[in-house]
Amino acid sequence: MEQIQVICRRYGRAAAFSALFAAAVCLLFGAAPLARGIVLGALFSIINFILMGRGLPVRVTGDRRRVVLKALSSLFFRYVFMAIPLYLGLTRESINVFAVAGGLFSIQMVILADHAVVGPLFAARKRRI
Amino acid sequence: MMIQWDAETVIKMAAYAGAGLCMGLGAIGAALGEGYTAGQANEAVSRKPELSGEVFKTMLVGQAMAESAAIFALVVAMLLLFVNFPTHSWLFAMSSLSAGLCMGLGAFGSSIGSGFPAGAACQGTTHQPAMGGRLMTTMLIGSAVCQTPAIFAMVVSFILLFSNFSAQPFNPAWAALLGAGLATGFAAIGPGIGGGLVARAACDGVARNPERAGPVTNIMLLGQAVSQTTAIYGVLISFVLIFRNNEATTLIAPSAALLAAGLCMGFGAFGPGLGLGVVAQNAVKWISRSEAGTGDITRLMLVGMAVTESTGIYALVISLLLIFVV
Repeated sequence: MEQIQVICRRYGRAAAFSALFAAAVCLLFGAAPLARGIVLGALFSIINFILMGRGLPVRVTGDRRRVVLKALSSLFFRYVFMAIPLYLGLTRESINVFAVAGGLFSIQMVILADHAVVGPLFAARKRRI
Repeated sequence: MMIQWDAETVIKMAAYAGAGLCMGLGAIGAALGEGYTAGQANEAVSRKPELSGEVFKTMLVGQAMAESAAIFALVVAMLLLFVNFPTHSWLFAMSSLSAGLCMGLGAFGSSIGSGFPAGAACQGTTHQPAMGGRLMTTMLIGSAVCQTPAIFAMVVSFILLFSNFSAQPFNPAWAALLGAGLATGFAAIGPGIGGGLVARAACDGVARNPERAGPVTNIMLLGQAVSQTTAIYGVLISFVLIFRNNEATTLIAPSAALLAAGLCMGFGAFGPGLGLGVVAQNAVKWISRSEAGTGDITRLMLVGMAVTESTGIYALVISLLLIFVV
């Protein structure tokens, strides 16, 4: 399961840096609620991804009934967990709810960017060298 | 004690019902898609236990992608539950319910579809461990394109939630708004699953014959793009239903025609979307195996898709007739 920890760390770090960069740009333009929303959404997205990764070894061990129960409860727990930043965004004016929603996809965006943009770019550079 | 049936109460009831349907339907799709991926991963690990780390890695990334559409549903459900929309129009009750249904149904197909390439990538990792990176890229691109119908559904849901319909007459606008949500929601299911079938065949193909990864990915994207055209018909009918100026009437027939238009397009796009995916799935499968026949297979795929799509076009024509002529 070491590979899962490596991938969680790698994408988690990239998502955190991307969110902080986007938040800094928003702050430069004076959009503090947007910045807070992006950071909050990204934070919950990263924790959700880590929970998915950490939960894998727990979910695949034990008898079948227990595995199904663990998988379902993990799914339910993670959805409730992901609803927390959205609730904060909807109830507080200092946090933009649409930025929170965008931040919740930061892990997916980082994974896509890594494979569809960064990977091919590095491969092309390697071929040139 | 009597229940007060004022506009505010009915709007809240509709918003709660919409939120429940939205997240419930979205969660069914996500659970099926993620479950399929996990099932395929189990099979792959049982075949080559020494590659379990690689398989789990692919499964984790694939499941994260398959969950995206369910997060869209979560966002819309939370908006329905907690936003105090500044309107007391009875029509808003219908637009809330419609928005929830639209997003729930839209997330359903895309989540299932995204699970297919993830499962195939888990299996492929054990066939071609050296091609893990390329396989993951094909899986991620395929999965991301599968989310397009869910994004259409989210756009229509947002329009239904944030537009002001208070100037519209209640009858027949209630039917137009409900029809709009159902048109995009149902129309998104077929293309979501169909796109997933194409991406699954591409991941299988890359694992089977890594040298053909380039043409396989190109044909996958072409197949997915064509299989999603029927979802665009659904969005088109939704936009017509939402932005059309309705004349006030006391008759029920005009309302029935508008609701039927939405249902006609929704169901009419479901089948062709799935069928187009099946055509492209087989084309991608054989292109990955035969270099010589690529041109002929691509032409045959496009002709087959054109014929398969015709029933979606019939549904589009009938929906437009129901809106503008009947």
